[in-house]
Amino acid sequence: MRARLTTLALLGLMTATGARAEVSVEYAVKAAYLPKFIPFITWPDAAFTAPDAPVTICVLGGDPFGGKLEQAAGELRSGDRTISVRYLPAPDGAASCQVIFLGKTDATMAEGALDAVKGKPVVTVTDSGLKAHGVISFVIEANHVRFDIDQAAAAQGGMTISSKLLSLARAVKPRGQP
Amino acid sequence: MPFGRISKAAGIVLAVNVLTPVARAQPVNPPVQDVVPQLSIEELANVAITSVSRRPEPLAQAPAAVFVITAEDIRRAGAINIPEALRLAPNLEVARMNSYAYAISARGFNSPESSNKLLVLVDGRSVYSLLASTVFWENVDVPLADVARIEVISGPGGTLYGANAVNGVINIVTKSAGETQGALLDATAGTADMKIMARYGFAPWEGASLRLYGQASHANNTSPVSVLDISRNAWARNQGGFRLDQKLGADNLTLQGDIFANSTPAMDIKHTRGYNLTGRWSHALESGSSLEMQVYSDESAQIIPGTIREQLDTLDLQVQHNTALWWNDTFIWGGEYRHSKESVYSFLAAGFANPVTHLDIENLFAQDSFFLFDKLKVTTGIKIENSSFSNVDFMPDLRFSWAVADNHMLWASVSRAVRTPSKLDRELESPGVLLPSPRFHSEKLTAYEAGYRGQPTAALSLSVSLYYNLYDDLRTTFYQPVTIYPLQLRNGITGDNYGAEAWAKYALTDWWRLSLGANWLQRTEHLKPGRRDLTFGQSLGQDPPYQAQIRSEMNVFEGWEFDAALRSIAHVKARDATTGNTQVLVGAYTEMDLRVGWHATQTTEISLEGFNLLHARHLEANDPSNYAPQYVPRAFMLNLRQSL
Repeated sequence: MRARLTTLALLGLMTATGARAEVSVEYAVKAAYLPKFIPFITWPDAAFTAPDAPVTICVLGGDPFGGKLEQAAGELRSGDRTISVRYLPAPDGAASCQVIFLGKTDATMAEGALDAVKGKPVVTVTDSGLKAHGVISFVIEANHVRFDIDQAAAAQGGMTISSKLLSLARAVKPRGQP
Repeated sequence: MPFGRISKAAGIVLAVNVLTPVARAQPVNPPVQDVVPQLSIEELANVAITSVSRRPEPLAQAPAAVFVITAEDIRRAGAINIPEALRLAPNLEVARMNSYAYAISARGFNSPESSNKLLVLVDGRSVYSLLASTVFWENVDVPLADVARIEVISGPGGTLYGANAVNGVINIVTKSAGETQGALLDATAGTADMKIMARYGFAPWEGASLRLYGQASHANNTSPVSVLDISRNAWARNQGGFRLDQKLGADNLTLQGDIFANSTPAMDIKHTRGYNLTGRWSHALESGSSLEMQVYSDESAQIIPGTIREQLDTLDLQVQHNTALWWNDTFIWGGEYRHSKESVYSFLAAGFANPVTHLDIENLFAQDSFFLFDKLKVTTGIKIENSSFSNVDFMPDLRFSWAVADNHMLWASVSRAVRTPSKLDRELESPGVLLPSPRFHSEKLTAYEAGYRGQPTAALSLSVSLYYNLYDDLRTTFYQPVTIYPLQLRNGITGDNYGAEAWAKYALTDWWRLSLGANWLQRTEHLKPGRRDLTFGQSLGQDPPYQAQIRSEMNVFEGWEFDAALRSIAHVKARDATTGNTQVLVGAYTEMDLRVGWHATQTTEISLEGFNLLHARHLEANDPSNYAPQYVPRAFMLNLRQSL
């Protein structure tokens, strides 16, 4: 009980002072990453409704990026396609996204979404701190935002990830491994 | 000229290791959000930069001339060792002397004897030898596959890094054990070098990561300039080590160490051995501040049979607290204590009356950075260092950075740094020829710098820095008016140097990137009234007035990399240390490296590299009074990196 109280007290302190800014640096970096993954990923044609349809990044369950994602996505294109951002309150409709970010506000919902798009051409990106891992999972390591890639999961959805992106990943789970 | 012998004795009074701190910083809400969207995907992984402020800071905001060599850069350059990787930094001069020795400097003073103004740290442990005021690069053999990045700061870093960070600081940062999990084999076979490194990383228990490595290498003999030189300087190294990272709630603990034994196997010219052990603890406090402690022990020995035997033992303790004094500033303060035991037994005429010296260094530092106006950031601090060799030195620093626009930053600074005397400066003596110099004191620099860094377009990043350096009390070899002897090392030269450094990275397409870099240096030095120098400014070094490089990295086909580098170094003109004649000591040269890399599978990479392809051999350094000059050869290498 005592330990719990201390934790709460610390949390209160953190929100009161500069710690908030630190959190948003983390999410500013994650927001910058998301659209930058796209040029390194090849989706099957069936993933898009039209040859010039935008690549859609969906964010499930709340916006941790505070507008940074739209800003980052708006400045980028992937080939002929623009990048658009959508917020989904629930996993329904996740299959129409090309990239879906699963935040840690609701771990159960994130796991549900992972199941819902399994084998579909959707790049699932899981936030750091989540137990479940998507095609790409963010990791915080030594104060840096890094990411792991599950190539097997990407292959299941018919997507290929360029070796350049793989080389930037902290760890890669290759194809053909359970 | 008898001085040649003394100078040679000085040159070979070699040691490994010592001096100056650095605790690695934890982040406290750095205001980087605005910069982040412009960073490339590679840069995002490196948002935390520790060197300039000793706390993470995005490169675009650092108010100094910083060039970061990434792990990817090192791989693409095909570098076989740390000094070769440092050729990537346009703000460094890298001159290879023979199979193992290098002279490396920033902003001048480069030569086998005089490159004593650049501080080098490996994960916060200094590898600058306080014994001879130099870095013995032959013993700095960090496995390249484990290097996360190398931060090269040209310009003074005295306030945070302490004495001897006069012309620059090189910070070699290795990956955490968690980033190097699994097995890796990195093997190179080449016409000049053979090297094999094996590493294994695993999680021994909850919250911990550990890596173990071992490596062995052999660098072939280089060819001598003089026909009379029959030495065989081939260099063999054996090294092993580990790194353990443990996370315990708000605490991060690191324990790391290395052990090595190196030698010239063809002839017993010299052998070196040593070990080091570093413990680091960082604790995140509430309110976003953090506390760090680091302690290391480093022992090394060098034996040059029949000439010198030396041993250097160092214990170093550092504490650093990162916090805020008021709203939205960042305040860092801390201190360090170091004890070194330097033992040098010379079998030459030149030697030390007291072979064993105990050296104590204590310092305190504080630095605050804050926004004076919306876009004008001020960073100011001071380090006060006391050494049992040099008394108290003050190293203050004032920096401004102005975010002119989203992608453009201007910075300016004024700072002071010192090089503290070494055992060699003060205690080397030779009866009838050289007197010891107990009053030799620190060499001093006041530096004025300004620069621009920015990203004019999404594909282009650019950095330009200018400096004006005022030196005082540089070392001279004083001689007697009539008798010449005895000589004495004294402080006696002033200098005003200025120069510029610039580099750019340009992504022509998503598969082709160019990097360009150049530096230019203009030097003038004067003897102070009443001072003399028998060696005609040997302590000032041998610098090319300019050098330039261009690198190209292409990923033409999936899995294939084609890389090329061209570097051009102007001729080195200086006064000969014995005759005093101004002459070209090292001719200008242009050299080219090529590399083809193939990612055969996800875990296998094979590359073929050619180095110094334009000439069969070329000369990079030439100081016969200090060492036997050798040519640098053309070389080919085949490298395999296999991870499991």
